[in-house]
Amino acid sequence: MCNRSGGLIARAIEAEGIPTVLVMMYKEMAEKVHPPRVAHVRFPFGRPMGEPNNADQHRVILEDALSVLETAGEPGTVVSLPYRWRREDYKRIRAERAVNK
Amino acid sequence: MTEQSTDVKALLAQILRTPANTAAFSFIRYVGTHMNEEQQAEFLNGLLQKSVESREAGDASALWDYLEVWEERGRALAGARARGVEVEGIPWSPVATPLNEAKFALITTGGVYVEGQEPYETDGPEGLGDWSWRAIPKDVPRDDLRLAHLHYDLSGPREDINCVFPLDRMVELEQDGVIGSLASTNYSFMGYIQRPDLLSAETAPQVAKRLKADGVQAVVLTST
Repeated sequence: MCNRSGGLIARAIEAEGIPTVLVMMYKEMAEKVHPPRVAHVRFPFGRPMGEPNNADQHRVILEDALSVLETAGEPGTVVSLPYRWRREDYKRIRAERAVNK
Repeated sequence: MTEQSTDVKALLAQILRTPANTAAFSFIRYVGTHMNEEQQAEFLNGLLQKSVESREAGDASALWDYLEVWEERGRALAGARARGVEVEGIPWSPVATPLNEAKFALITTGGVYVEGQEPYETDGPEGLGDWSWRAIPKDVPRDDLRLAHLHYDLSGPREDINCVFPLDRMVELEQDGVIGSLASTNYSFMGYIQRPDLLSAETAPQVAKRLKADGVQAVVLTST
């Protein structure tokens, strides 16, 4: 339900001329309400950025969402992010990104 | 249906019962609620096999992979049944400003509000939910943030609001020069809304117009 609402809000904002990216976990709902750009996370309901107090995880997800915003080439783009909840070393992912910059 | 199959069904339901509304069980519970007896038996048998294999391998990752595969299956089944909304086309506004110069706003459906504001009607008197919005200042004391939502596990954002509404992370992105700036006013809805028509026709466009008037150039939305 939340994911449906998020999609409809994204559509209304986009219709006003502002680009959006929606972080959501319910991919099937993206296929029903067609938000303009989706970063799909395989995280539980209610945890779009990840676990509480894991700032590195939140940051990785947000940076990826910004990348979807920047690179999506067509309306209805859904990018599934690869992260497996708490089975990733988000600190290391961020450190590697800093090196590759 | 024979008496025996009713008993099996009841037994499976009992085995597959999950704690209500916890994030950890939020997808795997669909095995119990959306699958038939054969699928449930297949899941439980695989769980036994993978548990023992994992112990022998000294590595639980095969078991965790297995759970994730069944979570995806459950979510796909639930998603197929979930009610969408008739929509036409897909609105599209290209990104016109480089992100490191753009003014961003953050929006969530997580049911966030500020102490002193009216809480959301979580289910509402007629079970229709609440399609109203709340303005959340960028510099609100984080201890003043409240949550009203009955349809997801609030324990995470009560501990750290950023796992749902990453205000602090957006401020850090601004400080690090990844985004141009974060708007002084951001927004929340409470996503349990059974009048999506009114959300789409009234309240979401109200927020969109306010964002436009505020000069916001890009929006990050988080759904719960």
